[in-house]
Amino acid sequence: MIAILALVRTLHFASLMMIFGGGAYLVLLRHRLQIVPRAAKGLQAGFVFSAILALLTAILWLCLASGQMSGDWRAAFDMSIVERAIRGTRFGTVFAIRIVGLALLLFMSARPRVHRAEVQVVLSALLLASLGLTSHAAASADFPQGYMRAANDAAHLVTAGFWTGGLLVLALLIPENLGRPSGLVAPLRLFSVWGTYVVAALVLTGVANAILILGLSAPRISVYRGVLIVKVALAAAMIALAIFNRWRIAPALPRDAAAPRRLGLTIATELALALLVLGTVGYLGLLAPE
Amino acid sequence: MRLGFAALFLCMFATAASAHAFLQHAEPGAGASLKSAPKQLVLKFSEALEPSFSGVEVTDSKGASLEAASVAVSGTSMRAALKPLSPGQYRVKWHAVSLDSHRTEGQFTFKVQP
Repeated sequence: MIAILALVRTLHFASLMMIFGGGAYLVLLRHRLQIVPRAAKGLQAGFVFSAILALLTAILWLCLASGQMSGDWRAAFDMSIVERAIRGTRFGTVFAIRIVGLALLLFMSARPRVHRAEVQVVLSALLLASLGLTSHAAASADFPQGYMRAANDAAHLVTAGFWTGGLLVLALLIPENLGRPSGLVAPLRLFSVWGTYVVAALVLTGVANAILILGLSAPRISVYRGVLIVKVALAAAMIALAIFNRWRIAPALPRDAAAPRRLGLTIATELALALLVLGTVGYLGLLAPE
Repeated sequence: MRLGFAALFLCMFATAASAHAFLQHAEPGAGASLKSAPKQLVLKFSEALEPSFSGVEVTDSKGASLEAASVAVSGTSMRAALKPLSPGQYRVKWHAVSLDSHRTEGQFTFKVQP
């Protein structure tokens, strides 16, 4: 059951990050470069699918966590237990509010002509950030420290979301510009400029989070620390690929016809790594941080 | 500005974290042999608890559950007022849910001398 809960958490992170990061980068492209990708329509359908997935996984996460809290996984779908979790625990209350917010996000995603993309971006950012309230770090201290730790975790989630979702949109721009590589220069530069700040904030909040949860005690062996090391190694590989894109592939784009394909390959690799990172995060949140 | 960030940083890191509620102190303690029966049981945990899903049960040497007069869960503590205990061995079984929804559980025994 732990494996199912880890998978549910991973899918929830991934779907919400796609909506937030993808939506945020699309808004930036439109405002800064007046670019609306041809794939935008397909992306909107992807956002609707992601919103459905985020909503369903949030409900499932709440049910499974209620079962876990009661000490009996079979109680996961016992509505009296779920109701007790909603009324009586911080986790349950936060998730009940998030589920309402996710339903609203789905409604907005399905009617993009009526609702502004910027509002969807803000709502999805809030939904992502609110997960910080139920995190390890937030639970480990009283007010106001707990909320400051939750804010740190929220910043970590939102910056990770921008990077992951933005990469997906960048990947979809490549087929549209295969015959005109110079068309990718400005979008890639825009993503790199924002990406530099985002990745810096992601690393800082990640380090802070690790210290908050584990403290500064002497290193020792534990499952939690092992999975965390795997996560850091995967994230470091993503950063190395991002640096390669920024300093090697981007300068070659205007003169090298093969550069877009190389860019597509590195971005696809980065996205695969991002999914693996989210997999480790899905599992880490269920382990005792020791 | 820098001072503000430094203060914020120090404030965030002021205490260590474990994020799962582990039992840190119990009164009566694990394995204690008491000359007189305790009137209450106090358990202190490393994290704040969710009262709705946290609790404690005391059983006698035959495994029969003793009904506590009252159980209160507040902050990082769990208190159970005990009805008069006769001499013998007692087992304390606790379960605690921290604010991030994680459950921990454990048990220990104590003895009341004749």
